[in-house]
Amino acid sequence: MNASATGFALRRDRLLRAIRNPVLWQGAAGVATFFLVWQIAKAIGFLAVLPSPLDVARGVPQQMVQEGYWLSWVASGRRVFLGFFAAAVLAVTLGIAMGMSRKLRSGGFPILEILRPIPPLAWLPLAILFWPSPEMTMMFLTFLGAFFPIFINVLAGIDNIDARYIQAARSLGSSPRTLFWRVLVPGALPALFTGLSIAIGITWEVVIAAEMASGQHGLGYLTWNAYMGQSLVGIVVGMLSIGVAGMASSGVMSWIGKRAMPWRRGH
Amino acid sequence: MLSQQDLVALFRSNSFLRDAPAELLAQIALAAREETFARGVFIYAKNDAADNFYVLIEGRVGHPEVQAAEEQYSVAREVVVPGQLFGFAALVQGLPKRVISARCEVRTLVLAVNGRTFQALARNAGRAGHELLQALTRTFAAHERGVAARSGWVSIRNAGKIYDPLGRSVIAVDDCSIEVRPGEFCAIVGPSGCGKSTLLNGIAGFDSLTAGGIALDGEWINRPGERPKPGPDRIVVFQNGALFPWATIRENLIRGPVVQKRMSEAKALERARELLARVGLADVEELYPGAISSGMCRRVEIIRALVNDPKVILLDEPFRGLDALTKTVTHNALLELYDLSAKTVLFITHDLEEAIYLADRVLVMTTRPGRIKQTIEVDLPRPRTLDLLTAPEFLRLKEEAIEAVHEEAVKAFAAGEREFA
Repeated sequence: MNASATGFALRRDRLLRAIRNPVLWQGAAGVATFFLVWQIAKAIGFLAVLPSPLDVARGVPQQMVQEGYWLSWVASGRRVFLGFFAAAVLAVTLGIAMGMSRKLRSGGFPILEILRPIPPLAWLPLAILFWPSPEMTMMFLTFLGAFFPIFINVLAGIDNIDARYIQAARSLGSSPRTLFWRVLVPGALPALFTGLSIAIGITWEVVIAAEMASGQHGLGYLTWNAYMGQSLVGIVVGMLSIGVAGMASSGVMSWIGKRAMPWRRGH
Repeated sequence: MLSQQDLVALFRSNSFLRDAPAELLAQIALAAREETFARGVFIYAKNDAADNFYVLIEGRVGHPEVQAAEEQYSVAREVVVPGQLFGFAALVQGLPKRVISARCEVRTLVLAVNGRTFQALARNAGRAGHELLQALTRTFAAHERGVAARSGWVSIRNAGKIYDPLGRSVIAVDDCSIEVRPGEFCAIVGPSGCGKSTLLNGIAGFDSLTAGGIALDGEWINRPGERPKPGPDRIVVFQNGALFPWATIRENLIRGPVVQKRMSEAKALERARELLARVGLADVEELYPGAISSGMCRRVEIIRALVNDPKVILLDEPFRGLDALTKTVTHNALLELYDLSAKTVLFITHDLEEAIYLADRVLVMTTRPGRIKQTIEVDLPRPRTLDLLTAPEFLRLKEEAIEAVHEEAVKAFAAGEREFA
């Protein structure tokens, strides 16, 4: 009873502190200014093509109840998540393996360097031919978009671990296993999370473009569809939805990063 | 039977007790007991429980272990001066065993004082009492404890190291021989690029030699053609610090002995806390290294080395980049930990004052190829305090060292200019 009361008080305190945090209010003010400027510009006759923010706000409920709106979120989210997840698993495995073995690296790195500059969308024609369904095509493209930033960062993360830490760990009598889990992994984590947050941004870019080109459902498809239906409000709502989805994924990424690296909280 | 006044006068003739508050001395006199021992009797023997310490009234007491180690330690072999203290182990908390024994050479009259009683009295005597206790503890460490230590003999024999980058060989160290005695604090100074770090990496086992060899307690740990293996018997404290930033101070401290399965987690933690408290870092163990100052980090790192109970601690310019004030605090922490642990310390620096203040012996290295140019014996008494920095003896040693290093620095500079010309 007492403990839960204390827990509640703690949570309440934390909430109050978050609400009082000026950073939150500054951010909100920035967003508000953006929409205000847009509204004013519209009012004095600029941006004739665009709907005003108020029009958009009025149109949002209607867009949301539209059949397929939430389904689009689910569809895009699934493509992003599965492609990203597969890329992360493979990129981390390969990155660590090449980071630790010189032979593997000199054998595998050149071909990856050739493949890396090819933009994921350049794979689209081949991917459509190769994969049996459009769904798999899109996941393959998000996978490609996410793979290289994660891979390159994991590799750099392992390379940049200070030799002192490895020497110190060996001095302290660590076995190779301990060295791996207690030094290499935590040492490469910051770089890994840099890679993951770059990658999650890229996967959204790729998935939207792919959906516009060949999708069914999905936020990109929704936006493109609005264009085809000449619904200006629909286009803007679609774009804003993509923005919110991207922001939410980055937020989740950095939340996980903070959990995984408690020693970097102060930074 | 001596009167109260006689006893206080006897205490006053001792250099530790001379300036102690009169009230404290009177209390000690009350607590003291006169005891007589016949010739050949052991007042206490090694590994006995240490409850009393003693003040000599008359007679002669010898420490047999010290005689055996005469060559290695500058410790008084005999207690002959009336008023002289012995049996310091009783004054140290948490060290209840004798590390050397005391035997009466003739019929001897001593004053026995219970160590616990004395500690309690001194603590009640305010600051002066605390300082007295600290000085006695550190003297114990530097003398009796120093005798007890027998491992940590580092022997560098005709060591040589040639680097071969891009086919142009660079001789980093050439035919360098150094003997570091067990328990000795040895400093190596020299211009940058003289191969100091090469030697240290050789001892640590990070880097192999190309000639000669390095032995620890008589066993080879680094020979040309064999891949050296670093180990917990030689812990390095690095130049920029190598506390793992992703582990809390506590994990950093106890991980070594725990992964080596030499200590239980609780035992290691207890040891770490004891040492942390000694250097005034009692409440940092939950923090990450990024959250404490660099001076604190260095202290923690020295403690991490000690918790691993190595035979030798290797310090590679550990205080570089600290500001003067932090440096002083860290020096004193290192001295106190050294006095208590009696480990062999090899200390690399290019700060002469620091080297002389800390070490028993300062070796000046020549510029590349590195060899020992000069040895400066620092026979300044321990425990050392800041007053030493202005003592004439200290200044004389410093001058001697500056001259030797300056010559090498000029040579190194000229060589550098030639290299880049």
